[in-house]
Amino acid sequence: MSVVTVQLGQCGNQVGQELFDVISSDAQDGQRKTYSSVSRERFFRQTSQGDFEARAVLVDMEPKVINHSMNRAAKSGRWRYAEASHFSQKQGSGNNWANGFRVLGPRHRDAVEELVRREVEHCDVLAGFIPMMSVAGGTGSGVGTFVTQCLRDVYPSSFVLNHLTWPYGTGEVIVQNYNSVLTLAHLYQLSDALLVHENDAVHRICSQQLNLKQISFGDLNRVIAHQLAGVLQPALTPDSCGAYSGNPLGELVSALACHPEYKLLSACSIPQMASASIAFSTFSWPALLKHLRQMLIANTKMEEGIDWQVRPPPASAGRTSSLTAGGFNASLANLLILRGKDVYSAETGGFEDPAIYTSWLPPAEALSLWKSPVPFDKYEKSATLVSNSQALLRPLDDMVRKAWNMFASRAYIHQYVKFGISEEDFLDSFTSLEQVISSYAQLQC
Amino acid sequence: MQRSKAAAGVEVKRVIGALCRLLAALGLDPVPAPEAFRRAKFGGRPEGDPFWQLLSSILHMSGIISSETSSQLRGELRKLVAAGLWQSGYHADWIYGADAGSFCSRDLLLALGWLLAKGVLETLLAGRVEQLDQTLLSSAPEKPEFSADLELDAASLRRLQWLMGHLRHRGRTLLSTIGARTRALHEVLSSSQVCSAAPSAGRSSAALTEDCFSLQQLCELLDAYVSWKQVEKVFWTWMDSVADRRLCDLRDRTSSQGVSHSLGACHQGKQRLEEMLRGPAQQQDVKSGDADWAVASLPPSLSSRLSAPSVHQMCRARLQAEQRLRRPSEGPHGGAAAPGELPAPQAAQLLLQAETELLQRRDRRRLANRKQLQGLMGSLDQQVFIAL
Amino acid sequence: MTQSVVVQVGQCGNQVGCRFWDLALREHAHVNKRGLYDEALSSFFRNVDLRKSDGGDCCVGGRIQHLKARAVLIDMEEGVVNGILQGPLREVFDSTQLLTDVSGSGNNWAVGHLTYGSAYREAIVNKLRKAAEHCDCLQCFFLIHSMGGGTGSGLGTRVLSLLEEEFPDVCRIVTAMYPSAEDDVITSPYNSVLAMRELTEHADCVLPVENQSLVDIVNKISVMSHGAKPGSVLRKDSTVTSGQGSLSPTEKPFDAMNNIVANLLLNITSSARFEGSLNMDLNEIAMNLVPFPRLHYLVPSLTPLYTLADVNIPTRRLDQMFSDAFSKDHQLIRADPKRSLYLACALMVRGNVQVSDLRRNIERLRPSLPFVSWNQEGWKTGLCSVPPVGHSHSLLALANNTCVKPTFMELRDRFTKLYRKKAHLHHYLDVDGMEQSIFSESLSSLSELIDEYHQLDATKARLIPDAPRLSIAR
Repeated sequence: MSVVTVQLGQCGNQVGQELFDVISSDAQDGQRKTYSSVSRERFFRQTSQGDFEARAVLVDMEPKVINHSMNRAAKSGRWRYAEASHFSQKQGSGNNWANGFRVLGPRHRDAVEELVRREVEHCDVLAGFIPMMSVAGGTGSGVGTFVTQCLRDVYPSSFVLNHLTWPYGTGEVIVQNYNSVLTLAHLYQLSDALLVHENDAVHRICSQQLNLKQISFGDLNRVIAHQLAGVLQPALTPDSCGAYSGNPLGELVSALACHPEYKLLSACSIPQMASASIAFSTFSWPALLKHLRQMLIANTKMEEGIDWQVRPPPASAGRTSSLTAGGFNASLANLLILRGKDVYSAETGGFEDPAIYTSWLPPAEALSLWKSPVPFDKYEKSATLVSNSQALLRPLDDMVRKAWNMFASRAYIHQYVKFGISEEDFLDSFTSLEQVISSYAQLQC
Repeated sequence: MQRSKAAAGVEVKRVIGALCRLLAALGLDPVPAPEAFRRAKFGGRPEGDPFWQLLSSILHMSGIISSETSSQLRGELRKLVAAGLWQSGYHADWIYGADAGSFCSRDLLLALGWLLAKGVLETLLAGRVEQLDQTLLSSAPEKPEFSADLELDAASLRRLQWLMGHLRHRGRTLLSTIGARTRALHEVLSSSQVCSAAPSAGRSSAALTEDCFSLQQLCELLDAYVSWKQVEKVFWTWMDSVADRRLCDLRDRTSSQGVSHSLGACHQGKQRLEEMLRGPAQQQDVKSGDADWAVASLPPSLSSRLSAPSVHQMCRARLQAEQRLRRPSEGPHGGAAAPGELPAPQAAQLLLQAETELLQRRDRRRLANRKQLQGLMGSLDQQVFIAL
Repeated sequence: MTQSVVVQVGQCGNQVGCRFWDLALREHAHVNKRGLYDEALSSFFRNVDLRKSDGGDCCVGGRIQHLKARAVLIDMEEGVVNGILQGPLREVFDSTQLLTDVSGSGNNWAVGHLTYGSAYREAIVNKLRKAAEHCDCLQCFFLIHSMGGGTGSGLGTRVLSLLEEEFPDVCRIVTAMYPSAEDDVITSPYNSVLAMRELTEHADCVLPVENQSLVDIVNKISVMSHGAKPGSVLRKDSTVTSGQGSLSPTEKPFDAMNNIVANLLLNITSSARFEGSLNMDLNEIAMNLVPFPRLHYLVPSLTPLYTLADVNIPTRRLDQMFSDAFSKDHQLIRADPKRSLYLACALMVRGNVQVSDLRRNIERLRPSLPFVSWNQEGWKTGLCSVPPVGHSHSLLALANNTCVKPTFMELRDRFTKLYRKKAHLHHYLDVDGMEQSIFSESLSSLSELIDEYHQLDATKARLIPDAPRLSIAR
């Protein structure tokens, strides 16, 4: 089964390139033949010359980032992007979602669909698509939403998992909250699940967990790529009878996002450390999983500074539905992926505790486990948790609040009206996200 | 009711046609023509009747007759069918070889109705689908465990929506697996056509055609089942009229041949009546399954409407009341009759009363049922009137 | 890659433009070591093969043949343009890009806007179209003119409305030079207010620059370089301070001031020309910084204005650069943004600066900067990896800030002083097509603008609660 990645905008093209880089280096080891070949089948195709080309389509409205990503890929020597797999224009979307969604997307629909079609034809079996984009800018968010809509139209039975990068709370794009609201509201209808990385959280991982002094976007993207690869690399599901799972996206989506009101997924990994310190560290499954569980319920994305005080509320006490509720993060569903040594002896009982889940889904259905005995990305043992939980409730609520305040004074609306997005469209999007917020807030009561 | 009988006849023909198509799609061969059903209603010679063949193959395919039984009774179609019907819980005089005179193809039709009411169609369907659909994964279907007292509160609704979503995702995964298989098959086929000799290409192509054919058959089967399900109610009403006709014939014969003969023919019924007369305490000693025999032998759809046990109980109550009235006056009279025993003429009279009472009740019930059915059918698109 | 066309109008516009082309050539010479005509170069220059009869453009990727500026030079006098044509920059222009007259506009907006505007309308449109045809993907017009003189304010704003008519989809960014209070042109308040209305209605963004601020900054630089703390050495090849070592052998008195404005233009386009980890395209400027269509006056500030000899600048100095960008001394108009209200702010960083540096400084400075309630996080950032010549890094801040209000009010006061006396009014009303209503309408347009800023200012001290959210019925 193969996955076609669609990289959109500056962020999507940078993160995508890092993702393929991690995957190709992880699958390189000759010792693990099946794992490597499944991984390669999933993300690469082999040319007649024997080179590996990413199953990816690169889309941007300006050429600089795509050129950069293609050059970096070619320099790796392990893989590259196919020569004719990219589409770029000369002039960006100008941070305007409406421009991307209403003008540029429809204008270049045929060209992009053709690239996707060619990539799909190269797959023996298509599992689905991963459109990667940021929600802040204009190309990733606007054109990205449009392209996702096209994928839905053309490949109605394929799985679509959007990978979204949420901007820093401040300082990237001023209209980022508008763009995010419009993107999320539309994707919620179109996509099977939205896997989200927040720049703020990833930035904290870089500074506190990896101890980087000067943090670049490259550093952020590598952390995101590592976590994503931890999810997407081959793993064994309980009913796979020892064969690496057939449809990775289908399995992921069925494990985590079956309910139409709950589609927001977040990921965290353990361990994460500066590569220099890996050699001097030993890991044990009980310790890793104990930390990971606390990271989940206290909603921290890294080991450093976990709040050990946070406990699931006792079942007897009435649960409160406030956004904070003592910092406890209630889950709807979790997917735990363990990779490395002694993976079958790992005790995962901590994640089967009904107290960490919503009352209406029993842990047996809420928790899925994937395992792979192959060590991942230099770590002898590692665990990745993909969670459909309240983790994104707070940032989503902030995002909507800020956008709504701005909308209340009608600031910047004229820029969107210019490209055919009306106040009504904004109101629709606000309404559907308030619905999402309310659904997630109610997980805990 | 003034709508012509012809229209109803056409409708019945259509319904029976649907049944025949479904039977054929289930792989039964030969299936009697729809006309044979109509002829059977009015009786006919049972020898060489297509219903023998049909019943035997149904009993065969649904696994009611084991292979040993069938090998033992090879060639004796009639015995085979009788044995199968008996094993399915159907009892009629002709099964025991009695009443050969009145036996006609209508009895076979009634037996078929019994089997259909037993749900044999569904059993055959499940088997046939499994046989035809090679693309189904063999994995056991998930059975989410609902608590018995499932209420539709918000939480259960959410859980239900989650499960629905889960099923939908599973379905799509399955679809992509099927897509993959088809593609692989296509590749095997096309590559073998290009590079290997003609015969092997022919074989692959034959496999593909076969696959195609069975898929087509599957579609036809499901289609036939759906159209049958839509008109099934009409069929049962018609079946009811078949049963009616048999009873009428039976009554005609009874009146012409005399009561004693009729009682003699119904040895089993006599026994039952005796049991009834023994009173409630003894009644409970009798095997409980046996007690409902009369009801159980009817198709489930009818038996539920007749609510027969209440009829039994009513009659029983009346008989007992009369017994008690009688006892004090009879007590000093003489000890010839044991307590609780009735003089024969009185008993016969009581029995006759009971019988008329039962028959009246049955008729009233039946009328009510028909009205109900007609109401149901009236709510369907085309209104159908059945000749009664 | 997109291209931009610079339209320089009037004496001031052409002088600033001239410095811009000088610096742009130097910047590309510094970055482009291989002598190839690359995409960055193509954004402001054409590469022309003079041997071809039609002077056709060469493709990107070939050797540099002969660079021509993507510019249209307009003046109603000949002096400045002729000076350019005799100077070292003559090679980058040709006669088809020039439009001059001999008699000048007499410091009269009406003459420039109406008389010359109508007379040269066809000629101007033709030259603009020609320049646009040479572009593969025209993204932006940079219009440079003064607000005080007749040609700059009058014809400059006429060109602006022609651009809107002819190229409605191309972004129009105006660099407007505002006169000092003690300007020697008596009618400059009239010209400025009349021009303001045009700018408010037809421009996408206006970067106001005040002469007095430039004078102050240049004075401070010379104090720094001559008074000199021990150990600090002013770099001679810095683009900011001097034209020495450049194509121009001698430095004219206004060059230092004009260099600052030229640098503003270089930095604003840097992210569109060069690579960076966070690109900022020109069309993102208006999108992020203009919340309401008329409020598109963006106050620029440049740092560092002078640089020290160190190459590895410690973090403290990098942070100093960010602090300076918000100080009164570094604004290109006389205003104090910290004491007014920010509607939005863009930081365009060049050089070896990472996103963590950016975030640290935003977090550090945020508490001291008042932002409008609905845009508390109104920051737009761009990271361009190529630093300006002679610097390790630089920062251009563009602030949509109510601090422009005092400048506009001062202008209005000076206008009303003259207008009340009807002084010099007849010079304007004599011009064909000029009516007194244009004066009153321009005045009320300015007053409305001031009022809009005023209303926003009024929200500053108050604590504005969040707008009540939509509620979801369940």
